[in-house]
Amino acid sequence: MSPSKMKNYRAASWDEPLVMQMGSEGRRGAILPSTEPGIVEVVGKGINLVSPSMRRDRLPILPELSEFEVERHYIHLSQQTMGMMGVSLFGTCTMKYNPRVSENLVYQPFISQLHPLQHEDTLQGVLEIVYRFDELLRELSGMSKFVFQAGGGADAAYTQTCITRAYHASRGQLGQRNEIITTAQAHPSSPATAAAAGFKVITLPLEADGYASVEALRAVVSSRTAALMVNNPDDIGIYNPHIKEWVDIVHEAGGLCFYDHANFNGLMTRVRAAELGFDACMFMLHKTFGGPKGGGGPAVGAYGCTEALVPFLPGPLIKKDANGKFVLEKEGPLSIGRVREFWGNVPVVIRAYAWTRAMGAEGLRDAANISVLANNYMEKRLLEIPGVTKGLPELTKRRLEMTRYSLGELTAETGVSTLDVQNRMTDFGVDAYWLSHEPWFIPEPFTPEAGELWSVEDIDYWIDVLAHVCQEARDTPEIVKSSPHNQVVHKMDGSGLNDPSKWATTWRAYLRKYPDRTR
Amino acid sequence: MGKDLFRLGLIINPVAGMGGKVGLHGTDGDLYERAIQLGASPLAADRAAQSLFSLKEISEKFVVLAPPGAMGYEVSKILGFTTESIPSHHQGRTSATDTQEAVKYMVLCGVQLILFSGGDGTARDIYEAIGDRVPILGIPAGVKMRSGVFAYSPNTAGELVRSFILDAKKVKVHQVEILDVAQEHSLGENSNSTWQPSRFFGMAAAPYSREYLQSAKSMSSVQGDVGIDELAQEIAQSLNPSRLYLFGPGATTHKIIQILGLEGYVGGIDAVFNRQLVGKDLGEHEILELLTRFGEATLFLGVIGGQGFLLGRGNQQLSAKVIDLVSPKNIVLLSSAEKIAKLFPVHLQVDLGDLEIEAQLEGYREVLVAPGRSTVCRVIVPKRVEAKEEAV
Repeated sequence: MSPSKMKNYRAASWDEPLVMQMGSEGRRGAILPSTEPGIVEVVGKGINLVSPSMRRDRLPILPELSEFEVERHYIHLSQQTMGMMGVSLFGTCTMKYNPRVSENLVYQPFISQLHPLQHEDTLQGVLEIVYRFDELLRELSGMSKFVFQAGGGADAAYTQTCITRAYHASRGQLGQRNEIITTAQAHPSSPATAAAAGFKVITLPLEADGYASVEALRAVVSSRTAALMVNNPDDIGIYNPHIKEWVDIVHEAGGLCFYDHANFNGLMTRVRAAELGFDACMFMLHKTFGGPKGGGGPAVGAYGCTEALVPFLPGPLIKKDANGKFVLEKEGPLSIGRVREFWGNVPVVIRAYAWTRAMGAEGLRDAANISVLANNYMEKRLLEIPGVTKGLPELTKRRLEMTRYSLGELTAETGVSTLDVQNRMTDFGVDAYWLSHEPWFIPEPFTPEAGELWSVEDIDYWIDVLAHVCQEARDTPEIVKSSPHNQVVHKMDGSGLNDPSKWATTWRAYLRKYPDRTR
Repeated sequence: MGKDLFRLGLIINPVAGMGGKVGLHGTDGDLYERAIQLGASPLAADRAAQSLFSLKEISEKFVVLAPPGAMGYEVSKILGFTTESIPSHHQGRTSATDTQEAVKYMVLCGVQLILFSGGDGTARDIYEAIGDRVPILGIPAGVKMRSGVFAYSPNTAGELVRSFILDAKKVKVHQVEILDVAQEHSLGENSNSTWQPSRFFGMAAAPYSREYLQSAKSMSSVQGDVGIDELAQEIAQSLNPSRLYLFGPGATTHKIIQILGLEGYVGGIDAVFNRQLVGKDLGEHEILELLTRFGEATLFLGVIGGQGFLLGRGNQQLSAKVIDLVSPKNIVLLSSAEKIAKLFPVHLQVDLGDLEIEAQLEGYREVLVAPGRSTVCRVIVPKRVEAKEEAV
């Protein structure tokens, strides 16, 4: 196979100041005419329409620009957005394209203009979509009910820890059951949310098969066990075949079992959490189900559970009455209350519904198969690159998705680190790769993952870019270490990142920290 | 000369790394003579030159202090650095004493960083001479390099020195473990085994290399382990005043002693009763005496990175008798989460020479990593075929 031609990529770099530093005093976008006297006579002065308690005594500090300047500035910013439109093989995230047809759909007024406090008679259409999507996820997981309130995967994990608390409290066992068990390569939101909900956390280490051992689980399970929270596969990528035994062990001890389906892509239509014995599970609609992912904003962690846990779900729940009408049912007395407002991020649920219906059961299975194939194809080619090794070369079982690779050998030979390689790869139009959750347990890690979206040309290009950069690390290491060179911004000095006096996240904070440097 | 210039100590162990290629585990002691006989050649000087090469562009910013000849001066001069020679008695082959005298002298001369080329033996010699008074950084050139002072490669060592010279504030200095193969295993009988247990000697200061650690998904950077610090605080505050506490060697357990405001010994076993030190750097006999005197006790044991052993190496004072008296259920294991994450698989051996006690320790044991956070490690007893035959 001949390597792909490296793209002569150049990111737009407008090098403009912040909008707060642009423009000139008095410059305006549109100048409106004064109110005609006749109108003032009837409605009074415009200012009087604002309650005195809400009026500003001083004008806010805003940039003063013409309309054209504003538009130009924001277009430039959008051109400088880094990532997610290159080749983005971002491990742990199953990045997917968000079909424009779904985007268009949710921008239509009949969706975007809805308000959750409208009378439910006027919300029947959207309630039906949410209800039907609940049914689709029930089919994929075997669970009894899904809610969409959680604003992401970690929020859904937190929903689980709150439900764990409420469940044991309802049985008078919360004082005794104060431990949650998870595994070393599970998503860090499991230990984090368990701790946030007040539980002690026991993390089982990775062992020789690529997952934690049954014996380790047996050693820690006790009458103090409140729940088990696991991913399967986790970030090592190998499916734990003992998972039913795990669930049985925890159930025998009286604990609940939660399946974090962040890594569902390779499993779609192949396993059902409830059939494995799990009490609850979570899907990320903003990843696996084709919804947009964005910095904790428009995300949804769909949380589903078995009948026994339904009374603890956050409300309101969308139900279908005997006449086929969709109703919002207030949560019951055992409910944990709200984890977020209303019924969640509905536009994302609609996108996920559209995506899942378009795929169909067959489509989901094909997608799962393609992504498993793509990841194993990548492994073969990646390991042919000198300097790239598998993080745990001992693990030879077939994987369902990503795994951790290591550039430790390359670093030892050339001094070029995985961060340098990550930066340099973005010079060729691919997005920065995912390194590893912390603490790093293998040297110089990187974790690529190819879902079903990517063509073989994209995957080959990504691998060829990595091979090219590894070769550069030997021939011209300085170029790699000082990269990126073709990106919007070049190599950053990260030394001030932990020193709040060195950065400001708002203009106000900037003025406070640097009073001498106003505009 | 050049009072304001950065003062860099350089020391090369010219015989380091020679044993590896001829199948010896290091060149400590008499092994050097055998290494030469077997045809080994020096490697540490090449590595040092490779490492220092990247400093050529900034050579006006520092002065090198090095012992004469092959121990550093030659290489530094060849690269064209301003070099001060420090006195040395050595003639021909060098010894641990030469290294130790040289680094003590460097400290007196006010060096800000000592760069050395060698292995664990050299690191240990330097540590024993100067402790953690000056940060040290190792260019990997030995056969054994388990101590935390070594850079990944000669190049990364050079880069780190360069950042240190240009802006010492940007480089973090942290405490790292000095480990070396336990004496009893460095020669003879076990040389066929592929694995050599190591012993913990103490904590040295070393510049830290991952200071720019950040990524697309995580903006955190490593600033020591907050979890284990908090755990040490929690333990220090919750000690029962009428119970005896024993602390095994290592920085993690020593942290608790420090929080209590006591002067213990990081490399040995200390004992605390009623928040007072009742024993420091104890031997087996003294521990047994304390246990008889005070009764019930808790033993805090740290997991020492790279050692692979929980009991029986580097802490032989904690004998089968001691463990029996303390009782395995009263042993509390502590580690930073990172250290445990880097052990794969998380198996630790015990070798106490007492099958009955070892059997009680075998299996999965809890390891505390932060307040309310724990993991498990698997304690393994090495198979002793002879011992079993005897038992039958």
